[in-house]
Amino acid sequence: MARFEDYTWVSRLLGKALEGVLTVEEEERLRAWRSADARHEALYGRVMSGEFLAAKRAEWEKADRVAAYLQVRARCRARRRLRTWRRVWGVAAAVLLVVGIGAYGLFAGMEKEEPLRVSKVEILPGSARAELILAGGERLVLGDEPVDSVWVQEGMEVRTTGEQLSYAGEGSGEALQYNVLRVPRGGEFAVELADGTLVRLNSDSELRYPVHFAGGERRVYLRGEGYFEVVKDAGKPFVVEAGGMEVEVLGTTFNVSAYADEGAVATTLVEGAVRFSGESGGVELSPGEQGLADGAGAVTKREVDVNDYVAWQKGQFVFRHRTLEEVIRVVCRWYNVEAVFESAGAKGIYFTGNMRRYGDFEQVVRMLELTGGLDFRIEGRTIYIREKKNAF
Amino acid sequence: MFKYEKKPYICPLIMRFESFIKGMPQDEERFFHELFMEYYPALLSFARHYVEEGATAEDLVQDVFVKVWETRGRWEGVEDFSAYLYQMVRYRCFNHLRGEKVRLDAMAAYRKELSDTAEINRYIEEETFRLVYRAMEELPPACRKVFELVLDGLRAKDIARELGIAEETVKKQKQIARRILKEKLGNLYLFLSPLMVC
Repeated sequence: MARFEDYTWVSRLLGKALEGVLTVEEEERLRAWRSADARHEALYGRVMSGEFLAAKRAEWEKADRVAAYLQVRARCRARRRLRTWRRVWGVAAAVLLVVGIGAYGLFAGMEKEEPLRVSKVEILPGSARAELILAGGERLVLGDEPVDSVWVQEGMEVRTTGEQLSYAGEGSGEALQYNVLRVPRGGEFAVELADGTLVRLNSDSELRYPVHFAGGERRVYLRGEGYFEVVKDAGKPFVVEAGGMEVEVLGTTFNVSAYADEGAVATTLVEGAVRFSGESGGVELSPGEQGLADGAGAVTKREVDVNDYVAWQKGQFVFRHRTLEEVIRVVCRWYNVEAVFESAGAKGIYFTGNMRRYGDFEQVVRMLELTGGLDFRIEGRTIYIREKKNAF
Repeated sequence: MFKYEKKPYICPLIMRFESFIKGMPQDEERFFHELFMEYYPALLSFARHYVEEGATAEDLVQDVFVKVWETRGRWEGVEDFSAYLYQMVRYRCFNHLRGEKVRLDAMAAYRKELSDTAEINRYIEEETFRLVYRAMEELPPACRKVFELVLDGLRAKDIARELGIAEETVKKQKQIARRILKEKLGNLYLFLSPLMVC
């Protein structure tokens, strides 16, 4: 019976022989193998001939590795789904039990609350979805169906796992080719850039970045909100351009929020150091500090509880003394709903609290209602908010 | 966070340890991906020795990779991934030939004709090319061009003419290539020596 592992060494030695880098000892060993069997000698002769490499290379080039890999991944996934469904029924009973207990706890405390007027449209929390726009304008939808795929662009290998896009490889060419990752309302997605930097994008956000970084800096363009874990490269600063501001770093972790409807750009530093600047000046930030640029470009900084600003990418909403208007804006982006304030006074009510980002929309609304004095009405994908007439 | 780096030449064996130490599922995926890209053409070529039809050989090799992925819990126990993969392809091909209702006696004759040495030699042949191809990919571009032609059996004079460079340059690149390969392969040899004792 053939035991291939006992012969791996022969191919190593033949490879070295072809490359002409055998040591004396190895040559001796190979010679012993050759003389042990005429077929060994014949194989040696064939491998050492010039045609061997040329013929093999031609054969290899015919094999479409990428297409084959995609097929294999698709088959692995299909089989996994089959098995998962079999398991689901077993788990279902346990889940029902837990949900039952949870729901009891929730409703026991809310018996006297008016039932929420929710229409039939199902409102789900955001999930991994995005659109990738390639340099040539081609558009790919990511996330919805967890497509595991890999393809090659500009000498870079691009992979997607349904939640994250990654670029790997050396890259080719000096001219920068840009891709755009666009995350819609109700979505989130992450991308690992060519240098290993990881960017998590929040709902209604967009990042434009080169497929690989060439030249003296790594520059990307952000709209909306992103959490950056930048890989250190002292010789190549990493620059985020957002809302007319620039965040320049060498390697660190920070959050940038630059939603047009917020009217301000905020950079919150988790670790390391960054420079946050615009046309009318800038500030250096230390961990725990937040740089703010208002609509006019005036830059200030303040100390904040960092977690409040980065909790979104850990699956939480954290609001600390934020106006209802601010809170609603964040919630609407994530659940992809619209809000209408029927009484302007409601906008200015302050709210403090934590909520699970992947929770049910109804629960979120109930939590907001618990602050008292507010009345929420949901119709389709629109939520109407007004102050209660006789709240107190 | 574990940063995946493409390991030159020795990747599957060395990587096995690195990625399993960190033990993150996403590394399993990367490892699998790397393994696939590295071995697919070699295994396809190997499968064709057993199954002539190209599309069938492709299916069979892909079956093997699906299996490899599904048994990823057992990767840690694999001593030599190269041998393991070829062995799996071999079995898959035999099973397929049986399933195809190729007459058993024909099968027996086929196997009698193929002595172990012939099968082992095919394994050695595919692996030799894979290793050389891998090593070449790691050379700097100028070096690589020269060395590819050296391996194709061209002499320094012909290479110089073909590439439009001086013969001296060709010789220099050849030396550089040899030095790099020696360095890489030297380590490899060391690393593999425990396996070679058995």
